[in-house]
Amino acid sequence: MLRYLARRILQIFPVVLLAVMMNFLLINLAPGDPAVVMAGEHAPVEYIAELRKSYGLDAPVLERLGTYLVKLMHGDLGYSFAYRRPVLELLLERAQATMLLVLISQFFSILLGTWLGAYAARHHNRIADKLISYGTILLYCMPIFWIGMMLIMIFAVKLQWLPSSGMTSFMSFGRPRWIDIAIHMILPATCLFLHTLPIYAKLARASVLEVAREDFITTARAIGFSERVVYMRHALRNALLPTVTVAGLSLSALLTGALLVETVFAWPGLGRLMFEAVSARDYPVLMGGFLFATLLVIIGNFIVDVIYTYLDPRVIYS
Amino acid sequence: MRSLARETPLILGLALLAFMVAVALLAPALYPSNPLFSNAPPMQPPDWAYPLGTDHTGRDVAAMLAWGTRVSLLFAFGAAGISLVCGTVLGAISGYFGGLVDDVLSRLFEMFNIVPRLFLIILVVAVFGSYLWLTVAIVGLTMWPSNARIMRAQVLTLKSRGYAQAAIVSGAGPFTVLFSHVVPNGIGPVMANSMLQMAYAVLTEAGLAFLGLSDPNIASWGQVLYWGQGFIASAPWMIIFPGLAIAMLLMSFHLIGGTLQERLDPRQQGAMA
Amino acid sequence: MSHLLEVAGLRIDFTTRRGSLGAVNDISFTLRAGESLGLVGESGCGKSTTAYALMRLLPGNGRITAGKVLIDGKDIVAASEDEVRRIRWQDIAIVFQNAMTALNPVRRIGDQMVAALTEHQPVSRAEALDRARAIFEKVGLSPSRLMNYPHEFSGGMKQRAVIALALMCQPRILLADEPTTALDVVAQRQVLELLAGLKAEFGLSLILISHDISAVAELCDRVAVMYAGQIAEEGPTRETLLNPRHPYTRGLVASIPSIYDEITTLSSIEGVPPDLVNPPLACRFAPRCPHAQPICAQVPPPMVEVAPGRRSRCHFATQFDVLIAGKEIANVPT
Repeated sequence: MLRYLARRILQIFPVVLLAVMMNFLLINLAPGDPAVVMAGEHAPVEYIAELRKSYGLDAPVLERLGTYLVKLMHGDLGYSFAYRRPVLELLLERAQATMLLVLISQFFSILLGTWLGAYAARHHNRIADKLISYGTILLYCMPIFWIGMMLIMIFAVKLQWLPSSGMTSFMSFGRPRWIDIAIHMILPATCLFLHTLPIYAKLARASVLEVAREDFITTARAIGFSERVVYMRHALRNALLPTVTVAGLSLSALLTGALLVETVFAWPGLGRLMFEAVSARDYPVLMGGFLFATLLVIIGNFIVDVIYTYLDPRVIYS
Repeated sequence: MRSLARETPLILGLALLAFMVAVALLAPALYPSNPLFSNAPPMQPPDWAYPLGTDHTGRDVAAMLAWGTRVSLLFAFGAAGISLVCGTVLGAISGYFGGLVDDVLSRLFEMFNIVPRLFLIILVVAVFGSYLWLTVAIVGLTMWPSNARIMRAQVLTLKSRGYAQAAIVSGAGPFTVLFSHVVPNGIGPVMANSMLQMAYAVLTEAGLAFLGLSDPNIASWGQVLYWGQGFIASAPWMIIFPGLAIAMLLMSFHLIGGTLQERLDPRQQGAMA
Repeated sequence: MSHLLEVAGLRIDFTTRRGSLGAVNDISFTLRAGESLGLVGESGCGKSTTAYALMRLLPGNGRITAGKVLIDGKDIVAASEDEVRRIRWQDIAIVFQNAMTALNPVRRIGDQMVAALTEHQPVSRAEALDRARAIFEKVGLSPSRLMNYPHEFSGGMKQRAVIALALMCQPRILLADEPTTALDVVAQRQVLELLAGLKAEFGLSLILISHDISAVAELCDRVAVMYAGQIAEEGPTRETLLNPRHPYTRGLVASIPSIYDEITTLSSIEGVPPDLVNPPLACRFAPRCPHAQPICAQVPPPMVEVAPGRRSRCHFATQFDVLIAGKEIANVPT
């Protein structure tokens, strides 16, 4: 197990290196002065000059790459002049809000999506199945930020039940802070939940249908378990394996969704930061955000792998 | 023995796509003037003159959406086309030659799959500028790994088949065998995946526009949504209709792609027989 | 003495794209407590379908369209879903054909056995585990392996585990559906010996479904030979196999080198079984029967009792020696 973990951790480096190389390539291919790209458009002239000197931008490409890598390894992702703060500090702070949003919405999405899919499979080709199947496709075809705006239109503008943006109110009306955050989170979390729900429902339906044909399901029926137990306890557990795999594979799609949702709801996470950085042409933040998101996906993948080995005893660590 | 009911998804998908293509082709005839010129009263709710309403500067939403169909279809076919070519070629080479080539390319597919695509695209477009063709190319170039993986798997199973072996024995060069015998027989699943990639490309265009990263001189569905953001309460038609347009086009790709996938899946065929 | 199991006039139809397929057509047989019955026949003759129907486990497109299955006088066909669920595994359990896939791959074998028992009987997990240990020893597996996953077992061990699972609730009837086909020859022997031992020890009522006549000959008191969804012939195993009263039984026995030493000729039956969507209207075996007479293609043969406890579905069952000798038949039945 330990050796397996060690090897998995070693596999992280090539991907990170790829993302770093892409960043470096962009800096050097960009039209105009690479130093401006590295500093962002708001950076003062002196800073750009200093940057040019410290990176030796007149030096050969390989030497510059070396300097860049060394800086990154010290956690130096540059400085954001739009926020007047180091990029890494900014990213770490904003990542918390994103994690909160993603974890909560995905918890419900995986739970309910899998349940819906299993329910559809259990009633294969009947009305419930058709409704769930077409409903999920329809939901899947709606852009996430559009769903977000529709939610705002209904629940914030028309009904005025929920706040449409931000994470906290200026005036908390004596509410504890966590309740305030929870109320602000309902709409964005619902939006992200609706976005990924169809993925899990579709997947669970397909894999439960496949597992339902297996012999051990017939065994479970023969033993006399009820249909509900047969599907929910025997088929679902086995059908969860592909769900876990896909959850891992779709982590980057999930971050993409989070980016758009945070933009719609002004949720102060990584995605909103990226949006603000686009408007401000704050390149260090954009590049740092890209690296950071890559790293998050890799770590997420790693966690998913560990969960998988727990769910499927057949997996051997080799 | 296929009944019409079984074909409903495919027919519906093709009909939706045909409608979209027709709108794209007819846009210049329907709305000859530049859709971005303001020549109507601002903030008009939908009525007979402006069936989808007008925006805050007096532009006809219907005209912008009609012209926007062209942008969305360009993204769909352009980006998915680039991805199809790159993915097929690289995947086929990887699967056919194996060895070190395969190792290196497979690793590359994996790594590209992990990198969060939209973050990368945003970065590139922000640095280089939001030129239409550049954006199409970038979206296409970030999508190819899944096609490559499918093609690689196809080639691995197909290269040992009789006709491929016969071609090899008859002295054909490796690239002839690969691209005139193996690839044409294995392209099906890649095409099915391409339909889904088209949907993804349309979504990405809309997302980029929504983030303010599309060419402001071109009317696109995402662009209208971007402008409409500030008017959710006062001009909901600026939001509702572009979203429906996107959902409709995506639906057509999913219905067609889903049917393709089902037909190509050997297990599903077994169940039908 | 009353019968533990009584099957009467059972008919099972499958809905297919080509139309209704009569997989089982008018089957009747009985099983006494402690008795063992072999169901033999070629694949597709309906023997496995019959077994599944006894537990009402037919696949979605299969339906029991006529007949009764009485277990201890209770009709399975008419019972509610809940009643059937209570009968399963308690009164009648099954050992499936493919032990490799019959166990849930992601649950420990011991857990699967415990779950089966606690589903039916009000016992604690500890008690259930004790029982699982005892049964594991009975089937020749070490109780220490109860907490293993199925993939950690060899093929023969898995088949033993599947048998152990079937015995968990001490069922009154055990169905064994081709329990040895997926195994190598050595493991086949061991599993057969295990079943024979269990039968002797517990007085198990056993129905063995097999295309392996030698296995049936070894294990079963009685045998029912099935052909094209019907029972061709039924009777005490030794008598029936040594002295068949149906041309199909004769052909089937002859195609095996030697069951008992007496039969040594080797011949096999020409042709293929009929299409069950459009079965022959009269005798189903007539098209392949080497001794077929004109009547065989015109009148469906009735099931006749040729001796106490022996039945055959052949027009010439009572004059079988004459028929196969190829002599003139004195009084042709009409």
